[in-house]
Amino acid sequence: MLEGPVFDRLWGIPGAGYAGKMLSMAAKKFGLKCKIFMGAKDIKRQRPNVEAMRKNGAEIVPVTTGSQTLVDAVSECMRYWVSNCDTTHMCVGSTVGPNIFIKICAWSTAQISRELMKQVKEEFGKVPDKLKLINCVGGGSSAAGFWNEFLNTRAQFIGVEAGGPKKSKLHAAPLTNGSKIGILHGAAQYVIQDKEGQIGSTESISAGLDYPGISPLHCFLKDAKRARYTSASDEEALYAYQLVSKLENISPSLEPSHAFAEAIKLAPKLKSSEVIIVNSCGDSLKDKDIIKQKLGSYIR
Amino acid sequence: MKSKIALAFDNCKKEKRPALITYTVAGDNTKNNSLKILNKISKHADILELGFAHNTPIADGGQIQGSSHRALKNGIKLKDVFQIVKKFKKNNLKKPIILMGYFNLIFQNGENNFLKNCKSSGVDGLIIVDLPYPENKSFANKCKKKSINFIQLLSPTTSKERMKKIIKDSHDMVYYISMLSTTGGKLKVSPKKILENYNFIKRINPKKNYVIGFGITDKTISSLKSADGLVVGSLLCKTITNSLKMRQNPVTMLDKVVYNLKKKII
Ligand SMILES: Cc1ncc(COP(=O)(O)O)c(C=O)c1O
Repeated sequence: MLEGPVFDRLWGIPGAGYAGKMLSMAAKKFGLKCKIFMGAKDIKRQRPNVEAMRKNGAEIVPVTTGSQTLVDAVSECMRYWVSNCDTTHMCVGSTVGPNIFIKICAWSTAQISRELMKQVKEEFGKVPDKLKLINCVGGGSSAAGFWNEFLNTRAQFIGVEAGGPKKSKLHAAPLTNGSKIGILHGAAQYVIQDKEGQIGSTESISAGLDYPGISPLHCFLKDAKRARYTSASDEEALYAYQLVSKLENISPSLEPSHAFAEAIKLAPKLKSSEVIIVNSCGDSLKDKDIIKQKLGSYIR
Repeated sequence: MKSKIALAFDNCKKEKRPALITYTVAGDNTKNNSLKILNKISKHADILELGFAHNTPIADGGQIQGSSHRALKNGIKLKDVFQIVKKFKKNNLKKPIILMGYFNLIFQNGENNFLKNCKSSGVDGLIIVDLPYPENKSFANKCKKKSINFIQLLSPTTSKERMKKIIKDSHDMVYYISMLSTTGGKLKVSPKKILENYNFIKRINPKKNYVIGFGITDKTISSLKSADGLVVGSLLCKTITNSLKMRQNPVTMLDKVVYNLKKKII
């Protein structure tokens, strides 16, 4: 029996729309109302995911303040949630926001590494001595999930942030570029900001990585030197997307293409006994409009 | 020695009315005008809250977001905010001023440096929206040592246990958020219900001064006048927006609106 307020709504925030897509499926399954907050710019550039969410019956709320991307969507979703927390749960699509939301998200994504651990043991009989796990990081949920089971092994973790366009000063890589600690969305973290403490603007070809902050989990992993962080530019990610799509039987979205870009840089320097695993955490279909615009065509 | 904030409440109690507390954003619509606004409305208001704008204001609705945006577009910096307070205090030494904003600006400025600036410009209190209890304990203590009021926030979702702890650690003034909302929301709870909650809180420690804020306008203010103090913010920010739209002087418009608010609670 339920006592107290009845929660009949889920509200969430995805960057690229994956978390929103999953949330809309969950809402449909359990008969809950679902609202997804998305930056107006991201709604345009991630159309396929937006259509999928609508099909599942979710209402998409375009956020038109600020840069019209993830950072503004998170702010707006938090505003709605404090106004409606008696009937509504907030689901944050990455390991960002106040403490508990980070834990819920990281706990959920950790399933990836439980499966990975099983596969690694099947393939190598044990965790290889020289293993690199490469993952893109926006807010950091997918990387946190990819690495979790390997924390107590000797596996190396490499997080790849969005370096933005090659010749631009804008980026979304606070760990790589030495941003200072600040407070954003209820958590202290390394965050792109000016001297006064105003949050800085970001730019990335990848909607899912286009966020000025980064999960406190990753700030800790960086400070503890347990993980290493670097960035890939828009151009490097696009190139990696093309190369991987041509050579492999997968077609990564622009987020994991950042991780593949780092793998492409690293691989020639390694011995054949070393193992690299890249998390191809998204499919390029959602990025078809951006890819078509940048490369002239999109073939899947 | 009693703080200026406590004295302001004492004074209102003598006059058997709630304190009128206004909120405007420093630098809205210009640095000069925001000082002129403070000078004007201080004739009617008992305590002045002055916002220092942040570009990611997660607790604010459209009106205050708009004011913050205008202020930031004018290039407002913390040092300008302190200048405005200093200039205001030159002619209004007794009128309490409370700065309100988000913690990152203080964090980047340096807690100690920020408090030093508060002290030298004459700031009487601080409301830091995203520095909740108990994470605010160390900073609130620093404030206390400098005789600056750190104003704690309570809301309808705060449990009784938590309220007791927060009130125990509070200074002269405690802020009760009337309803589940950002700033600028429509009052969606009846004044009767708000006052019920308010009286419940007041009984925890009747010696503290409790103010109610969020959703208070010229239409709702008189129904809440049994409180120790009432905060009006979004209505004032909206007045500036409207006066700019209609090419009227925001200073005189605000003066009228605040005068009208005061009339409704005496
Ligand atoms: C496919 C994909 N990968 C990665 C991300 C980045 O999020 P996080 O850094 O939380 O893993 C997103 C975000 O939307 C995404 O859609």
